[in-house]
Amino acid sequence: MAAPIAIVKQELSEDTDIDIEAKIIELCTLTPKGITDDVIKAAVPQCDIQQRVIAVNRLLSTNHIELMKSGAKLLYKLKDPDAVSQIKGADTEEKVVFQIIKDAQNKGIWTRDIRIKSNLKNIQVLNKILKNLESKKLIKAVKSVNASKKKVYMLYNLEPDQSVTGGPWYSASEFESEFVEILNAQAHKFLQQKALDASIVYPEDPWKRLQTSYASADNVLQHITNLGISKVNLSVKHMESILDTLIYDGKAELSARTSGSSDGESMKIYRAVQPLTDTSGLVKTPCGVCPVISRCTVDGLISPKTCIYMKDWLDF
Amino acid sequence: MSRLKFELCEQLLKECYGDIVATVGMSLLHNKATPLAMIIHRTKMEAKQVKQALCSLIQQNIVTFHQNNSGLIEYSGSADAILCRLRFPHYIHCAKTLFGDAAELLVEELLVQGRSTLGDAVNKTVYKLNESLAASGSSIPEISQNLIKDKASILVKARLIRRCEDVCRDKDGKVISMNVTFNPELLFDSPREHDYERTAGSKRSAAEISEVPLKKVKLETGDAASSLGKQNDTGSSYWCVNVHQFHHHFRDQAIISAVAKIIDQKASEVMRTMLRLSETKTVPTDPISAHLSFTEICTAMPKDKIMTNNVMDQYLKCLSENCCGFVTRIGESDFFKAVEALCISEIETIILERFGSKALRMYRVLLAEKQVEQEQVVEKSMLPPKEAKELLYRMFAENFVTLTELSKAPDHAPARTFYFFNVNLLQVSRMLLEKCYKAAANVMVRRQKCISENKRLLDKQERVDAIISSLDVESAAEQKEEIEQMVTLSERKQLKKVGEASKVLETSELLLGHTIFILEAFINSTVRPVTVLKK
Repeated sequence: MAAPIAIVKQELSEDTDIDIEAKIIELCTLTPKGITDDVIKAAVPQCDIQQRVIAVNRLLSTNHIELMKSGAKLLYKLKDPDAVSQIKGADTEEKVVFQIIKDAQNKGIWTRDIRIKSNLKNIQVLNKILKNLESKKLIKAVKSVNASKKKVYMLYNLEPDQSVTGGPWYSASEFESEFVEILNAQAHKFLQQKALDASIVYPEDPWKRLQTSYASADNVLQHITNLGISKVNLSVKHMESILDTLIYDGKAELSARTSGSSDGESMKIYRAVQPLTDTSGLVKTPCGVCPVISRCTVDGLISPKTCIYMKDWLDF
Repeated sequence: MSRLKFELCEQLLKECYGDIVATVGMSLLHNKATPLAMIIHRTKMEAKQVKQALCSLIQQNIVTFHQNNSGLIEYSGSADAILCRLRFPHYIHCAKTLFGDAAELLVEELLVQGRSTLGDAVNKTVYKLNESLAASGSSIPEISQNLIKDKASILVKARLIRRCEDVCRDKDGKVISMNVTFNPELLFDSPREHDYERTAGSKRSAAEISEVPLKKVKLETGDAASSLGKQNDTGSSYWCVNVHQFHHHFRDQAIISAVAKIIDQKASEVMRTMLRLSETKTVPTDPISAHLSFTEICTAMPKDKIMTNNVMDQYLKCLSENCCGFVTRIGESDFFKAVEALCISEIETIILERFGSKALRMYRVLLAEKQVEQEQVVEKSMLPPKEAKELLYRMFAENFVTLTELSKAPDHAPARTFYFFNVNLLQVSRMLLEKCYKAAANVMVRRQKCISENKRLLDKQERVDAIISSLDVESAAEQKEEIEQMVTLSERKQLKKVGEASKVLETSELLLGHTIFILEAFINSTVRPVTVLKK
């Protein structure tokens, strides 16, 4: 009686071992952040602790999962099969650094943060590891636009995030103000032309004229693309931020219009406007732009009687 | 009251009324209500001079007086009344464009006199008009007094001129204070026949008589009491220019021209009609105008600019959709918003000139977003970070933008603190107003210096001109040339230069006057509601 039972048990346990391993891997893939022992226990209630230990150990030794510590608990986490293949032959420290950089994705990670996360106290060692990884073309260093001296690391094959490169307005981490200015000027020209056309078509119809003088960001973008000014592909969002600068310049006005489609969403539309008033009288005198006006008195060293700015102004 | 404002006042007083009046006026401005003896003591001038100066200041509506608790008459000056002098040319021009040459002369006469009987003003205007007609040799018949009287009534109806406040007397018939009327309608009581009659009979003598009692009445000396009986029964028969109405008109003009810029000329006509309609209906100090109906506006449009209902409807729609909310759908126009928009625009032009277009962009970011961190400003304005920072800090240093500190921790360590940039419009307009005062004073000082430096030359030119004009037409040719030669070529050049320079300075004085007006209008309309609440 005892023997067959033992055999059955043996067979059962071999089956269940594989089952448990599969189950653990499945659980790990479901929760990439890692699972605790309790989760495994709940998922495979039929096995005892011994079996779970064996299964986990086997998975660990075959590099399928890794063990992490989160507070007082142990976490099991699926090991990336790519990473395993990519850094074959590297030592553990390199593996850890590589993993940290990989986790940072296309946002990149700064050396200091790598050091803190990896617990590598020695900067030289870390630098050496990074250099190693770089020479293997596993990672690359990208200059961030936010802080020009800050280098961030990310995987070699990734396209850096916009927050790192600064989007189309940056080239080589330098802000391309000229590019922005050109786009700004062209957008303004386009809106002005639109207003002019509208005033010719509808001289007697103020409301229609007003409505046709509006243009959406899409229209402006279309115009800019047709002109072929931009080498990079601009999105509507980018165009909107350019048009926003026009609004801030006081050269355009924003309004909303419900788009034709049934969703009832409003669309941003823009129109060229003129400033409300002429140049103020204050700045037409030298005093308006005088850098030393606060020190100017009638009998003082700086005085309207002897003012050189006034002299130049009146001499033409 | 600021020092710079007073400096400008002093310049204005000096230029218009001379040093003595300026000294007395400034002493009054600095010291609020002061009795006569105190003024004499402070200015260290003769009593007679001080009295005369006070007379002319009262005549010009700059100084008011009242009796204090201990029975002394106290005098106090108003800086704003002095500053109005900057805008005199504006007032006169405004009267001319609205009601023609006769109105222009009437307003000018009243402005120069400060206050005067309507009869005098009318007579002088008639005289001036006929004189200029005679000089131009035109064949138009002489302009009659009635025509000018009508003009005067029109001006009163338009509230551009008003009666002066009557004076209060104590039981001995001594004048003790200005009568503050609480019913403004009384001041615009249309002129009755006796307003003209007083001086209509014998022009010259009557004018002189009315001049004398005025001065004496204003002085506290009781010896004028004898001539008081004449004035008592009719109430004040002196008239002056109602600057407030002019200011309203300026504001409306500014709104109209802004509308013309945003939409077009026709829209500004609609706006003008609306403002004209509301002018008579609205209490002047209200922030919004009375409601106006569509048909009302339609029928009130001037005949030559009439438009179809459809077009009118469209224009009104445009006005209410655009224009920073000048006009709202109910059919009223919001003066406060309009004045605010105008003031902001004024400030923006100043920033544009002072710091350039990039700074203006950042400034408008701040205006739109209220509280903004430095990085956000740079990001939104899409400027090169380094340049943007520099400009922002320059604006900060010159008080155009302000900074709010919001600390996460009680230690206010910079690393744990948010720094928000923002714009305090009221503060900025006050600061700019000060600068305007300063600039206006500077321009005046410079002009006086320019003229006094070239006084000899200018006098010479004047003399030469006088001689030439006194010469006969026939005998002229040779003699004329000879005399003209007295002014040498280099002198002529210099004269031309002086003329141009003072013209530039005068123009900028006028322009400054306009800027001051807009800024003051904004400050007044923003501050007033608060004081009302306190009451």
